[in-house]
Amino acid sequence: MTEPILEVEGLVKYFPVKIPAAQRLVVRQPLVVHAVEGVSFSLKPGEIFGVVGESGCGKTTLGRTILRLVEPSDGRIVFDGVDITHMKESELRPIRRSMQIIFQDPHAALNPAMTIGESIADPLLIHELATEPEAKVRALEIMTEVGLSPAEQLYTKYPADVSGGQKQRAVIARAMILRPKLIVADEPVAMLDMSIRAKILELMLELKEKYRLTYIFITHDLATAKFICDRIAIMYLGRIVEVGDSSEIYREPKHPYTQALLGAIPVPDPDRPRMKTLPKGEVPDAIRPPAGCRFHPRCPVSTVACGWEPADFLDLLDLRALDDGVRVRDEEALGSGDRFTTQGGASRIRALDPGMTAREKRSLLVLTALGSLAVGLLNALAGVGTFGLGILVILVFDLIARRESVRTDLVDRGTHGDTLRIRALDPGMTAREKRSLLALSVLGALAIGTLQAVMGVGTFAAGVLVIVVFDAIARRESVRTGLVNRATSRVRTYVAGILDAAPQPLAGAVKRITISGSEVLVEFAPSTDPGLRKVDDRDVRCVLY
Amino acid sequence: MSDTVLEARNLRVLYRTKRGPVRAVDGVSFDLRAGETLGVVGETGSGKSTLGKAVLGILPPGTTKEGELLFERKNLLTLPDGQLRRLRGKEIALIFQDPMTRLDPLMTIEDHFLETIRAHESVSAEEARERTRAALASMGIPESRLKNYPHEFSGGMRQRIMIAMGVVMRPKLLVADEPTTSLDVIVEGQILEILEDLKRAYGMSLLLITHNLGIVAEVCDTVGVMYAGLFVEYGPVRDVFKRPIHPYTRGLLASIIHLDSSELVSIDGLPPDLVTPPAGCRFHPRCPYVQDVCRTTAPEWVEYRPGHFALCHFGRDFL
Repeated sequence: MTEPILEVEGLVKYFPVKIPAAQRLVVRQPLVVHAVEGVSFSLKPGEIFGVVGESGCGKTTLGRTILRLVEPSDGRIVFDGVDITHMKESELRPIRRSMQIIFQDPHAALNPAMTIGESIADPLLIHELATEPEAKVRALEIMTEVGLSPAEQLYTKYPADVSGGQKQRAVIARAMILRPKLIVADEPVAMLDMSIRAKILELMLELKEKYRLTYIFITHDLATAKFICDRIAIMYLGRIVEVGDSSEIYREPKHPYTQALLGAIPVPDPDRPRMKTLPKGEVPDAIRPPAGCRFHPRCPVSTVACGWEPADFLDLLDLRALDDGVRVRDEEALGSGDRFTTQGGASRIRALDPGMTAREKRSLLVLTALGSLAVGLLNALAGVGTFGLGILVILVFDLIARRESVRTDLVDRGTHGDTLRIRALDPGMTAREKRSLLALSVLGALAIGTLQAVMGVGTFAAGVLVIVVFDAIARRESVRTGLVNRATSRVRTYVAGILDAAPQPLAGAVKRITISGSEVLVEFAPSTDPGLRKVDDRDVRCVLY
Repeated sequence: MSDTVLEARNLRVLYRTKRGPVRAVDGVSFDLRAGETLGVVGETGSGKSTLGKAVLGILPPGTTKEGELLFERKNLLTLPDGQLRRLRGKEIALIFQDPMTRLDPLMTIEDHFLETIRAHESVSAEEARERTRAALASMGIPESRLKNYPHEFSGGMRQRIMIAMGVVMRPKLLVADEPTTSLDVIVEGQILEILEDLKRAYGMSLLLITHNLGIVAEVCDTVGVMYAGLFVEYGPVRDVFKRPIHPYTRGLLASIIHLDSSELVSIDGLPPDLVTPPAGCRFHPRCPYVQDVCRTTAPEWVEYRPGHFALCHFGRDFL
């Protein structure tokens, strides 16, 4: 028996999610994308191992983590008998020659400022395995081998001047020039036109035979994978759900997800009827992947044991909300979505707002008191200010009136003639009158200010009184209990009704609906990942087997 | 026979470039009847997207347009801009390949709809909102998400939003340019189902532009196979798939890697440069059956079976 060329054990890759600083105060746990979660497999030399899945399933991350282009979060990678999981970059470098990658987009994988030939020869120079003239000779050889001919002529062409198929041949040549043992091919034909895909695949097969290469062939296209892979692993949300000989998997797919993928491929035959039941929805968010079997929310044949959880109940409510009538009824009965929380294996629905906490009330009281005092004070100050302004006006006018010239002129005009002694002009207020007026105004302004201050405090006091009285009523055990009980049992009945009308597996997975204080708890049976288990000739991750 | 909604007669579209005119569409004819789906398949650069743009009247300025493109007997090529604008979005709607770049990232989904509806009809904001709600609910998008921005949706949801926006005015013709190319196979299936349902519900016609022959087989009634700016074959889907005439169609059908494939087949060579297309039959440099006449004389557009046309000198031999 031959030694495996690659062994991957429990490989895990989490990517941290950046959260804005403000949000970090609320979100306690750091969020991570579960890109690859516990993937294990081993490859025999000369094997073509397909990794198949939809976008976001982690297949590209898996390929890159195996090559240590992305650092693994956990697990072990053994390449050619050497554990490279934690190897330093300098130690890894010579090993990298033996493991190369072919990228999906040939238009982006080649440096537009380098000629095709320079790009292909570059790895030899980077690894210091050849001088420039030697590298050129080797590049020309490999170019002819991958069908880039006439090689001399294409050597000096830039990527922009050649077709997509030629670019992908150049990318393959660049990967081949270091004589690798393992090549990770990440969607090598996805960006190419149908009529040239076959040529590239044929080339890859030829090279494999000739140099005993091992491929990890990453693709979303099951038909291509079937054609060229010896074994395939179907991935869904970071996990392998089915892995085995490709011919067997295609002959009889076992995992419902594999069946769905195969059934959904459009077949170029107008007489073939289309698959009737497609899985619902789309691949969920890898930040909060579903519990249990990750495919269960979309699975057409799910059972009660597949890992139903509170999030599924919330999804059910979202689905119901598509019907306007149902949405209005749901909202009337259950309130808006923010009254739902999930915790462990239970959905919590807060049936009734139990009111403010003692602390909230105290803070509110203090704030109200401070506020009304501040307003009163402001009012008093404003009253005094108005008064001061009045005094100023009086003083100014009085001063003008007191000026000799003005007075004389007025008096002169008033005492026209010799003998008549008539007081022609009021000489103004007496000093005493002025003092009284001043005193009165001061008292008045102060009185108004005080009144306003007192009224503010009064309003506040009235508010406090109302709060206290209502709180006292609400606190009475009988009232509270009655209200809470009525609301929660209403919610409980409603939730039970929703579950009765719900699709069977979800309803069946609900262990019980209980009332806890003012909350209704929808409890689910604890769920576990079914794990990859040996089924006949392959491994499948599904509770049905 | 049902009414023809869209009819092309010898349609040509020539882009102006420094190297000379690019013959992106070079004499294409077809009929699309009410409630039917016409698939246009071709590889990169075959001119299939240009055809879609011509129907929408969104070709870049300075493009030469010849022939006739009749929508309900109005020639779209000569229609004044104002009238074209009234048709576009209301009578003829478009779904693009990439829904992310076609939705304005600064506008909520609701605003996208309100803009579309009120550009064509003077209805109250309340009425427009009501239609938006209904259109999105029919695509499985709840009302609670109306105020969300495009980036808050998944790829499949964005495409469903685009479709909802395309059909909110109940157009007679929907042009879908690679509507599922950026989507995964299961979501692709869901979108195709939605399009089928819409066709049935509103009697809408669909012009489906795609490179995926599997999709054509599943949803189209007729298909036009495009190569180097020309329809090389056109006819009922079953005829074209089961009894293809043109060597290019045969090659294309054989090159699809599907689950029952037993060998890898490809078409040698590359599609021609459309500034200086080859003389004679445009496919002759890549054709395995090439004869002298193919190099010199352009083939005739011949109806070999009822409604089944092909552009090949030796069409009769392939029947």
